[in-house]
Amino acid sequence: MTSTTTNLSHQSRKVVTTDEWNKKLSDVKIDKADLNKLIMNYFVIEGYKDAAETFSQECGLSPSIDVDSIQDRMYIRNAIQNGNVEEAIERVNDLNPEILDTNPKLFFHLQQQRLIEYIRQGKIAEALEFAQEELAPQFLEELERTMALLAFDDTAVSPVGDLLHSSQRQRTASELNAAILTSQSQEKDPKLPSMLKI
Amino acid sequence: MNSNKHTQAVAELDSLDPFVRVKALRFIKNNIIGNKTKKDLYISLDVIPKLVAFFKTQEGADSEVQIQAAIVLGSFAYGGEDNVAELVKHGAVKPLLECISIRNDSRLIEAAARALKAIYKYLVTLLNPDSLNPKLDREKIASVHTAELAATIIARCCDTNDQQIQIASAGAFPALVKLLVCGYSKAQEAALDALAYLCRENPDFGSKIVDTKSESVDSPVKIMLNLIRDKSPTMQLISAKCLTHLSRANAISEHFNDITLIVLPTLVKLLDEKGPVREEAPHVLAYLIRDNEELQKAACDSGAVLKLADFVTHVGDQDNSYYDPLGDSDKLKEVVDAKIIPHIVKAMSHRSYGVRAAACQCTRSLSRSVNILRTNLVDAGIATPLFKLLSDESTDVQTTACATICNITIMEQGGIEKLVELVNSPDNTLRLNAIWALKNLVYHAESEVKDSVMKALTYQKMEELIEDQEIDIQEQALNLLRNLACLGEQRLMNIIESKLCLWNSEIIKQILYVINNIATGAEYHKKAIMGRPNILTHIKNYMAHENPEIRVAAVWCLINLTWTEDKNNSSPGRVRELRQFGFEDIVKNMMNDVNLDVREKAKTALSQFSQT
Repeated sequence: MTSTTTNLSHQSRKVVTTDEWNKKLSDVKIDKADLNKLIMNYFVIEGYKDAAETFSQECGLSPSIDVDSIQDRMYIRNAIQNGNVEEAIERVNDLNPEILDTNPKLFFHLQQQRLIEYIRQGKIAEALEFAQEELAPQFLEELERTMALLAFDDTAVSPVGDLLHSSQRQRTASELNAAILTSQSQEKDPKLPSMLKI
Repeated sequence: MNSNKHTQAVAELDSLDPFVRVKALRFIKNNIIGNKTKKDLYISLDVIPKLVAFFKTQEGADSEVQIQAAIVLGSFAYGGEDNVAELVKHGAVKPLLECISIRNDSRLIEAAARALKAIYKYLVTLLNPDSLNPKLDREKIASVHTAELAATIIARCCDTNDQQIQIASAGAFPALVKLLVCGYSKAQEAALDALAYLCRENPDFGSKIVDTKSESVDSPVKIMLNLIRDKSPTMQLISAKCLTHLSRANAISEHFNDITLIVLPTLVKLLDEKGPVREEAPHVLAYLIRDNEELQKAACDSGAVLKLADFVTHVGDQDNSYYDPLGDSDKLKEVVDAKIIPHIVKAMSHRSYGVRAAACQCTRSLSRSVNILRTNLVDAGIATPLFKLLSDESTDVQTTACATICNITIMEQGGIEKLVELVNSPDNTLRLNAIWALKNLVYHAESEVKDSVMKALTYQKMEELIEDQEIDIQEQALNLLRNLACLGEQRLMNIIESKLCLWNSEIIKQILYVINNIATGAEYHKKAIMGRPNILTHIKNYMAHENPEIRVAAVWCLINLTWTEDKNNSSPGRVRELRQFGFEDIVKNMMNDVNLDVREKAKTALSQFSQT
């Protein structure tokens, strides 16, 4: 790339060549401690409690938050991933009763997940009763899609089969995890992946 | 809906076992969080009063029960306006506030604070008329009205600093400032009122309000200074109040000129208004000028004192009919706090009769109040002008001056002679007040004072007064006699004897106390009473009177008559005589009286009987 100034009406804009760029890049000293902080941030937000603890011992960096709160979040995440949605709800209500009262969409997704778990276990009567009692028709489209599960004998090949995938549980778990983090004034996304995207 | 498990959970709240309660509360909590239908279901099962009751038992209260109950209450508040109204209706706010103000379990404080936040947050949301998505004009007006109500509630919820913080953190300032320019006067007034109470004695919030940005080009203070020029006196008053509170919170010191030139004169002008505005304006004025000499001087220059004097008169007159006396004395205290008494005293010598009368009426109202106040009046040199007013050309002024003296009782500068002179006045009110003043004068006074009063008044006059046509005058005359603790002259004994037959219980009581005062005298005083079987019979009869105060007074007579100071006196003889009269048996019966005071006095009397 050659350096040219094309716009005379403005002050000449500085253009950086690739060589210059690489040179500048290598000149930048990245502090080891900053890197460590980035990694810790990733562990904490993603909920790797053990890793965070070990890492903090290794590099002498204390986690930015109470490790027990990571434990809570992980417990809740695992409960959902194991299909124990009710337990997750009780736990999050203990942690902070405002979260589900102020996030109607998240609350619906949790109830939807409960419905999915009933259907997965073939408890059709319970599923119907639950849907009747608990699911307000706020998010009608999603609700209808979920109820459609009941219509198929082989749900795996049905157009709504994705709801039974583990990815659905993971999505619900992550949404809840993010809401808890927000309520604790934590960032909900780790910094490291977004830095890598730059 | 299968509601059996829900009714069961509600029933389990009544369990005495905290474990069962907590379990039920947790069940309810996990059902209602996020679920509006369930919230409504539980409210219809009347669960709120039960939850509120958990906070009433302070001692032995299980904190886990309270924590869970607070969370449930908070969750109800997320169900919207109707639910918040239900919570307020059942008095849920106060116990929650108490949870955060008393030192408590930190988890309980957190739970209560969350619940309050939910309640206040909803109120603050309602402050924005657009929050209800009004479409039709009718809906728009209704939503402004709702905003007004929300602001009114907020204004009533700012008693403590904690409450102010809760409401402010729910985002009240911008919403209220926005409401100031909504164009609907009632909503604007409510917003001003709420802002006033949010910054009362709170410099931090005062400056936050002043710095609140709004869509309007004008600053909040500018908006308020515009509203104070509104034609409605109510709007003027509330704007003045809000600016006053901001000024007291040191938030608008750069607007001092506006305070002196706009706010203060507005308040003084509002003293001429009627009804609630007239009643509240002095409060605000007193608060504005408290401890600020410059503003006090400005207030006096703008004629506030005379208006206030008139105001206190007005309040004083109503005081007799229906005013809450406590509220009244509060107002009086504000007058003192505002340090305007010297000005009032000065106004008592004003050349205009109206002003003299008003100032005098004002001091009269003030003199009714607590001791400190009376001292204050005397310190301000009230005596001289007051006595001058006793010979004022206007009977009105004379009467009021006399009434004031009743309350202050000053005896220097020939006051007694002046009062006795007034006792002979043909004007009934004046006579009554004069006797009243004399009565107060001799109460607990030195015997020289009593002597000089009696000398000036004469026995004959006293007898006349006791026979006066006016029952009020009779009563006060007897009261005076009682306080004089007169000598046991036969003539007075005759009066007493005749008066004891009367039906009026106030008179009977006064007479009995006169007897008492005589009975506490020397030996020959007691003898004078003992020599009057009629009097003794009356005393005995009054021991069975339906009015406990009279029973007490009658027993007192007995106590004084049987009192032994040294062993050589003749009290054993009197005790024997009284015993023969049947007093001892009556007193024994009185030990079972329904009235505690009577029982105690009877006990004392009986112990004196048993000593001899």
